[in-house]
Amino acid sequence: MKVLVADDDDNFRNLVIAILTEDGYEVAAEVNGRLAWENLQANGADMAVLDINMPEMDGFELLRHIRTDGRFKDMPVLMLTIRAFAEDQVTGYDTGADDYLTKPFANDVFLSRIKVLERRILKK
Amino acid sequence: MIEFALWLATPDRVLADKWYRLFSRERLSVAPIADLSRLANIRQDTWGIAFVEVCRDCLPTPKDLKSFLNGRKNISVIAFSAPGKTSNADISEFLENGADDFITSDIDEKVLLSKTKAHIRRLLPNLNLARTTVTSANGDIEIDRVKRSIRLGLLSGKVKTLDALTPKEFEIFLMLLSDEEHVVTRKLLMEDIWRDKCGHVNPETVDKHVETLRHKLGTYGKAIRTVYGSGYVYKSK
Repeated sequence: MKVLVADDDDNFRNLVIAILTEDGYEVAAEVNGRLAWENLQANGADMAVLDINMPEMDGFELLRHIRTDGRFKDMPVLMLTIRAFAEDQVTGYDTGADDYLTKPFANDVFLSRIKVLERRILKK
Repeated sequence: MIEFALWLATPDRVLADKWYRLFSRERLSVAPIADLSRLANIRQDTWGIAFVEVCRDCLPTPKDLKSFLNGRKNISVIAFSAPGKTSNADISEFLENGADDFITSDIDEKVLLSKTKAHIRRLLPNLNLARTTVTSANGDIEIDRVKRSIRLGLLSGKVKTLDALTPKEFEIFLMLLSDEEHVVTRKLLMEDIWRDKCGHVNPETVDKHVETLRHKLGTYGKAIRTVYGSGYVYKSK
């Protein structure tokens, strides 16, 4: 199961990579939305974990690209962000996010939410 | 025909009434239930989401959830509890034993609605409410809420894209078209579009935005009708 991670914050990105790889996930990580989009188009992924505030292309724009591309329109996406305002969460869900978790987060809850998304993939 | 419903299982009457009103306003079928066992014999062609409070009466343990779900695909369970009442370890347990989500009872209503629609999109992608595109009853206009685009003239084949709307005008048009032939009140428009700032917005501000929207829509704008003293209704037929 391959997870695309996009986050410009080194600490959070490395933490997410560590949690996922320790649990057996293959991870492709990028530091901004543009690089993540290029990586996804070139290499694909089963699900994505996206930060919102990123340089060059933010998480919402990246999510719009994902949802309007036939190859990835059903790919589970979890937004992982410091932006806790209701408006941001609504924008995330309305743009097509499957889940939205705010930083800082509990590692076990994050991993369980990833497993919920994985379960949805395996159900199909 | 596939039916879709939401079920609420909580001993908290105030919360149940609040969420009942919220979902009913979106014309979703909502029913209170005592606990998950009430859904044990539900028909396979009935799909839905059960919001179930983690408590002794409704959903005591993750194991109870697992034994209820037992391969069911037509019911999605969103577990919830009061903030701070359930530990992170327990939240993880519920998620890993089949809950599709875990929320707290103080969740913002608009977030709850958006989250619920995201779940519905996943469960039943063809259900009107959950679709990413909304089409007018006569099939002539299509709004894509993800691409944030509007296409006019689908019937004539002379399709043109309308991209001159402001974000607020877009949201107003989306709300009217999503609920075509039903009155959308000024109050609802203010609450849903201006959100936290709705207390600082006058009904006249809504009227001005609708007037500009009508103008930008040209001949299509005539389908937005004023319901005096209440709000607006969109009728394409």
